[in-house]
Amino acid sequence: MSLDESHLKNRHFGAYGGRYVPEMLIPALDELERVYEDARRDPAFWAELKDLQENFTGRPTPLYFAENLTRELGGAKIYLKMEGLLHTGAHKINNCLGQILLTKRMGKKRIVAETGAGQHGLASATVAARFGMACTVFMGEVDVRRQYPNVFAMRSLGAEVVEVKEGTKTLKDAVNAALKFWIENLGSTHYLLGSALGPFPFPLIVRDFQSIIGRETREQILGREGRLPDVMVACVGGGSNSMGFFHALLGEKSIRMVGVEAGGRGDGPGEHAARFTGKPSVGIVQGYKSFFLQDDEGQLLPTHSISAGLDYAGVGPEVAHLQESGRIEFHRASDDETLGAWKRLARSEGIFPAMESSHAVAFALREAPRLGRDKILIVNLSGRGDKDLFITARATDRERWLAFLKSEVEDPR
Amino acid sequence: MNAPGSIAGALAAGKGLRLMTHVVAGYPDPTESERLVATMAAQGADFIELQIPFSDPMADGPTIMMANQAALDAGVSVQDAFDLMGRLSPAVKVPLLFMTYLNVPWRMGVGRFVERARERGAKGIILPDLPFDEDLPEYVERCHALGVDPIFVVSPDTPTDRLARIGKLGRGFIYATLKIGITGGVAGPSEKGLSFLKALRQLVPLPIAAGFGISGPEAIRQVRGLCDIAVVGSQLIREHQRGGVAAVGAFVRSLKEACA
Repeated sequence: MSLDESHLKNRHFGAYGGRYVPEMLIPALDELERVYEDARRDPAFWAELKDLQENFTGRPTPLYFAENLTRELGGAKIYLKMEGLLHTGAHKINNCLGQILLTKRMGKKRIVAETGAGQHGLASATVAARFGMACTVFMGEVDVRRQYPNVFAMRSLGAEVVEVKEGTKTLKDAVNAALKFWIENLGSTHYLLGSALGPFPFPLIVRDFQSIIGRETREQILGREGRLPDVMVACVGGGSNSMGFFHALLGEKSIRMVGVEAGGRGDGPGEHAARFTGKPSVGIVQGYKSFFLQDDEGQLLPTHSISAGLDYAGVGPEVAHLQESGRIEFHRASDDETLGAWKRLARSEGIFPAMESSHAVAFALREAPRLGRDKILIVNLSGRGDKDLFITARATDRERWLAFLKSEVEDPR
Repeated sequence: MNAPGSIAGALAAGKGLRLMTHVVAGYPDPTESERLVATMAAQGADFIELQIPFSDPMADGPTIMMANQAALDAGVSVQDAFDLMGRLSPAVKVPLLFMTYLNVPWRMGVGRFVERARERGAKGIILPDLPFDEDLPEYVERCHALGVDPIFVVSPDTPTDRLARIGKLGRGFIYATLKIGITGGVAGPSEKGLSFLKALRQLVPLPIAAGFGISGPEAIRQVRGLCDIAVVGSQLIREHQRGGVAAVGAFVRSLKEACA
């Protein structure tokens, strides 16, 4: 790769990252670093990955011109990078395929994963089934409830799903539980971390396996429009879809890169998950230095988002660096605005975005009309919305949905 | 010469296996945790770790994690933990250490954290999620300069070259885990853990504390002769849940007897 990596030094991306973990994890992180460096130079590794991407998960994903939406908004041309069309329904599988091949190279037979929205857990359970490995997924109790379709799917694939009842019972606590499970089972188990965060080399590995999104996008938009886009938009929880989408194009200074955070239902502590557009502060938690939602004494604050995947107090270290350097600008979308964007995309284009990705759509709806018709804006539609049934049905069709659930429970069949 | 009340001083003043116990500051409530520290010291603990509660304690198993969360839920602050240290260190005769996770000192300012810990009488600091070679040299520098011992945690898988380097940076003692895992095990020390202690003696010039899986007198007898300090943590919380301060006192006494 000819991309500029000069900001990556001593396992830090600029000032962020590192590996702030118990000493007993250092040998496992060293091993992962070694095995990944090895794999990175091995053409056979990439050939196997490419075959799986094309024939198992369905790459390349389309770059879709949202013609109706573009016309309705009357501004920039809107394109959607359709990661939700991948097998398992989101970009998460890109990273899982890569890491399961690394797991195989390490000779390990078991993976552990955290999940928020359930997309990473589902993708992990899927690659574990495909490669005959055991899989344990930790998921916050709150998220199990709101993303139940994915819980069922994971269990059907043979994964063990463990509900995490500690702390805020969401993604951050699932990460803690997965890390501890890993520490207890280091010899046999790989921690298949799902976002571009945690101790080094995870942020690098996840970003690299996700960067296929941006490489395809570049080629596809050049093919369609003969030029690069003006604006690229992605939602940002931990940062895996955004880093994957932006990375290959970071050097193209003419492109405005926009990250959209979860604005939740208000500005108070526990009402949102806006690390940058809220009150940004640097912390060192869960193995890495970055921006966290924390109080004055360094305790992580609770978060809220309508989307389980963005409901997280930290953010990946490379995202933090790129935000600080001004390369990525940040905005937020509220729960209500996000639901509106979800509905709008369904009605205008016949596409259900995941709640997470709907945050990026919400920004596009705001921004496109302000841009000239000669501009091009691409949204990374990181996932599709099937999994969100229990969120969207409750929020938009409450009475019929609850009546249906009730009848399902009472059905004597 | 060893500073009065220092960890090295306490180790030099006696012989045989010593006992380090653990209390989460403010758990189950501030008064009770103060009473626990006093009782442990009175019943024979030679060193006591005071853990500053943290929202995401990465190296702790369910028992200590629960205690962290309960303390935070009850409103116990970092300031409260410092106040507790300030009240206890002159009152009890044994060295007290702060244990917490890096984000707490980081947020306060690492140098300021070390200074304030020293002012309140802490003799050492244990930060399990700060490897010695991470990008935070200020921590060890301030500890060395102020005479607060930075205690590093190592495990049976730690490579020997790292052990050698940690041996040079650490002060007071080195904290060896008997297993690769989190706190709170009851299985007792494994063969691997015990042989690690033997090997460590040759590799590191510091006194050795052993923990992670020492939950009773039997385990203490197993590590006797292989290390200088036995560390008991989670089991003390379980004893407290079972029978309050009195049960903890009796348990500490039984641990101390097993050290002899």
